[in-house]
Amino acid sequence: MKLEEIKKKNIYTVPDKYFDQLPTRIQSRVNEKTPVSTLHWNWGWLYKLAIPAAAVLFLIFYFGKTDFNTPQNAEAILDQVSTDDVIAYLSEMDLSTSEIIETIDFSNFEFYETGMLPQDIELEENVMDILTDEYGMSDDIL
Amino acid sequence: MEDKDLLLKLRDPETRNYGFNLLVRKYQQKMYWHIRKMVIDHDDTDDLVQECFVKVWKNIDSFREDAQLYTWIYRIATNESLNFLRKKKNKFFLPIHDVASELTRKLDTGNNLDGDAIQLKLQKALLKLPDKQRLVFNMKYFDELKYEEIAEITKTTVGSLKASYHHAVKKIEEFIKED
Repeated sequence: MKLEEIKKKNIYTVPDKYFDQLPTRIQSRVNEKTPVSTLHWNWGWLYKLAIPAAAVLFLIFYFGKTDFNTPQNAEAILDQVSTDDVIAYLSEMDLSTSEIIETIDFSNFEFYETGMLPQDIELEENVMDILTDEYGMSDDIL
Repeated sequence: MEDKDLLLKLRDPETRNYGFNLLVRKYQQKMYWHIRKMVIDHDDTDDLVQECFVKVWKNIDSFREDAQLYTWIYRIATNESLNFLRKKKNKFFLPIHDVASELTRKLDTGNNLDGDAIQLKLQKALLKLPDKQRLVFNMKYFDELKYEEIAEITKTTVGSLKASYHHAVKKIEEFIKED
């Protein structure tokens, strides 16, 4: 049998009203919003997480920047304390002046060799009074 | 409506949806039957038709007007059909003739069929052809496209299409004779 002897016919059929409904179905499909992700941002949770996260970042930054292996200079720390506070502290500690003096290394002090205070040293008046009283120094020595 | 008018509507954001609806109405049947003759099953065809039109919607801006709109739509439908059959073959690790057997069974048991014995025989004979040859045969014999149009759709030469169609006709006649 030759092909041209067979009557040309489309033997396939579709359900009723299929082509009437298809455009609407396709239109609704293309108008569906593309799902971005199944993971939705929950801003409430995000805000709750923000504070601890910031704290952790701060600690990382702080400990990362601070060099704990190098001891801080005691003088630098004491520089930040006012003289009045130091005196008040020492008074409370019930230390005598001689005990305090013993803890000081005077080798770097110029007056240790000369018996005179260096000219450029600047002491507050109340400290000077204590020193002159304690050591019986007269104003002409200073 | 002419394709160029459809395209104007599709490219205007104000009339894009309306233009697309017109395009679907114009081409839905051609696309459906083209795919249906390849995959046989109505539900599979329905899925593929929707996929194809979604692709048309997404890619309409990249459509170049040096090609005709209907050949572009045919090409999308052709590629989707061939990919579907390829996946089906790979999924079940079956040689192609077993997929053909499955499609033949669908022809025997299918509800959405209306034809006499000889036409059913022709369809079964077609399923014995390689997919691409069957595709060419369908476009030439049933859709009555010109070789130049099929060449545009399949990106092959007119000469090879003529040879392919000629071989397909010979094989079909042999298959019908054998049965």
